[in-house]
Amino acid sequence: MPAFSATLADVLVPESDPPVAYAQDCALAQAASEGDRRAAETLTRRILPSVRRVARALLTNPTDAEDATQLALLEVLRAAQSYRGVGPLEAWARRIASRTVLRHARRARASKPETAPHDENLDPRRTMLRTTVLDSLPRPLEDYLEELPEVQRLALVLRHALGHTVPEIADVTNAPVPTVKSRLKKAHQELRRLIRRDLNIGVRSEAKSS
Amino acid sequence: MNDAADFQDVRWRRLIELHAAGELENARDLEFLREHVPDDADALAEREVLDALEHWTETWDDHGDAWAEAHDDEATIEAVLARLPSLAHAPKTAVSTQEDPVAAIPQPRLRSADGSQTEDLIEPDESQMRGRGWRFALGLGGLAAAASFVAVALGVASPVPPAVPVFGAQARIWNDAPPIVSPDDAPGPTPMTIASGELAPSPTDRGMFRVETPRACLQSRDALACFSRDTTVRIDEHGLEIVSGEGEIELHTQSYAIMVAGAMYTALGENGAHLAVHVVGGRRWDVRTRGAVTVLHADGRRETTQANRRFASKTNRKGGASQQPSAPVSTADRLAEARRLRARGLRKPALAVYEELVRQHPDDPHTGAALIAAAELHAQLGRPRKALRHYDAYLARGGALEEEASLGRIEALRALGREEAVQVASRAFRRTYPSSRYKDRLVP
Repeated sequence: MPAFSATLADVLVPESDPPVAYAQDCALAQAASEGDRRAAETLTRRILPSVRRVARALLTNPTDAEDATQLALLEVLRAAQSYRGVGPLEAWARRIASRTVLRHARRARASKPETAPHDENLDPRRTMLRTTVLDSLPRPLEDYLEELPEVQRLALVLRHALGHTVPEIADVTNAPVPTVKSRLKKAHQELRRLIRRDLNIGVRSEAKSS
Repeated sequence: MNDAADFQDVRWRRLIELHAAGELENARDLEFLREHVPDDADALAEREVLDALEHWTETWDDHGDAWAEAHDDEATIEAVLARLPSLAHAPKTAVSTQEDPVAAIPQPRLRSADGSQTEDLIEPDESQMRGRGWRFALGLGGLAAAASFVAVALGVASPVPPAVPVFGAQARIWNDAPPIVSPDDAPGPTPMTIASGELAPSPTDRGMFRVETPRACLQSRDALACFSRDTTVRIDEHGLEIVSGEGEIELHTQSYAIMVAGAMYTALGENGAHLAVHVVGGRRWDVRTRGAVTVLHADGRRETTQANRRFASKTNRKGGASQQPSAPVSTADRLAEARRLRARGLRKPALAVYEELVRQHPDDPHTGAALIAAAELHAQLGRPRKALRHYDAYLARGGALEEEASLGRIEALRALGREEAVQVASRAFRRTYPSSRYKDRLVP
């Protein structure tokens, strides 16, 4: 029989300091903020996947997403000194990345008014069609997200895909907390309506329905 | 659908909205949300969408992903660092972990429960760094097999800082050596924090672990075990116990045991076994086995099973819980299980279930969905030949997803470099589906 004899009471001692894992992350961030190139490179390399996921989740254009990724990485490095090791480094970086990416998106929209119809050939989400195909539904996840109003989609992605709390979403989207809650509620209701529509009436390609 | 099921589904919908708004704090409600599988088709689909969304970004990897392949990480890193002039001539203050990985190993310390003494927790041993034993790895299904683990020194009032900072470190635990930190692997670690327990500097590996990453895996000669976020496991030299959460375990040997709610599961025979485990707080649990398994129940009964079996808790009215072996699961149940695995990003375990369905129940109505799903997963995992075989099998039997299967077939042919076949199939696709939403994916 396995020796599962140790109990929590035997070994659990209240922690009076942050875990060693975060203390090391603190040291890394501190060194990066002091100009240590190796530390900065290590920090950048480590958070790059998380930051890139944030940009990809929030932006539709890969070029914009790459620009936003670099900007977000810069912001993280510039803010490295503020990391206190309260939570995982990646979560801290993700919050900065979300804020930066959304700010970049707002500026991009303000400086590039849409004058041409959206060209689906340039929509990289189409290339992701097959990454999240659900068995019980005829359409991929991305299709449902695209049908939501932008503010609802962002709230839903920030909450469920990127793991932000409601106050964090309010912070990065510059919206009051009640507004964020309302957007999330409406997003769920709209998602529910789309799903019910698909299941009840069936969603097939235009060729089959015509 | 009966009234009780209706009520539960209504409750689930209400709680989902509250949880999304950050207004759900009741532990029992949270437990219900995690565990409840809706009966209503709409609600079930909604759950799958939300589960998929939760793991959405985890399904993005570099292999076969056009978006990821369009970016050069090294170029991005260089571009970012170049824009920080403060780094241009900064002296190197940290010891290069590449040069002397052993010297870079930190020395966590452990204070005894009464606070009377401290001791070095581990001693680096370079000869052990490439030995066998447990290795913490991140993710499944082609994700980079790298995760970091750093021991939590419980009760350390004044932690001794490491002699040198260790960046991008990973940790390994070996069966016959104390845990060490090795920085010589690929960067990108994700911590797997110890919630409690001690890591004894002895040949025995013991401890309680809580997964803080979306997924984390442990691998050794005896088993491959992967767990979802927030799963708590207890490990010693004989096996592991899933205290709460979810996990998939492949047992390779007969000498390693998996404990769930007081029962012990071991592989019977040389072919190993597979377990899918879900535990909520120790009182409610579900274990599905595949392959030959010996079960030593909490009440001392021993039984063996060669077929797929499900063991689940049955909470009695006096508050206890006992094991209730059930009949072999149906194909619909297996398909639902595979969907849940896939929605949680556990692609390889999901693929194994789909393949089993296809192999064992070729004429079952649920096999069509299994074929498509398996084909897609094979494509995602970089196996176009297998994907093509499954798409062809689906098209041969027909079904509601023929358009998707046809497109998938074209993409598999393209991945195999069969350009002429791609052209032929693309022309046929355009003829059959002239207004398809997928026409942009075809070769002009």
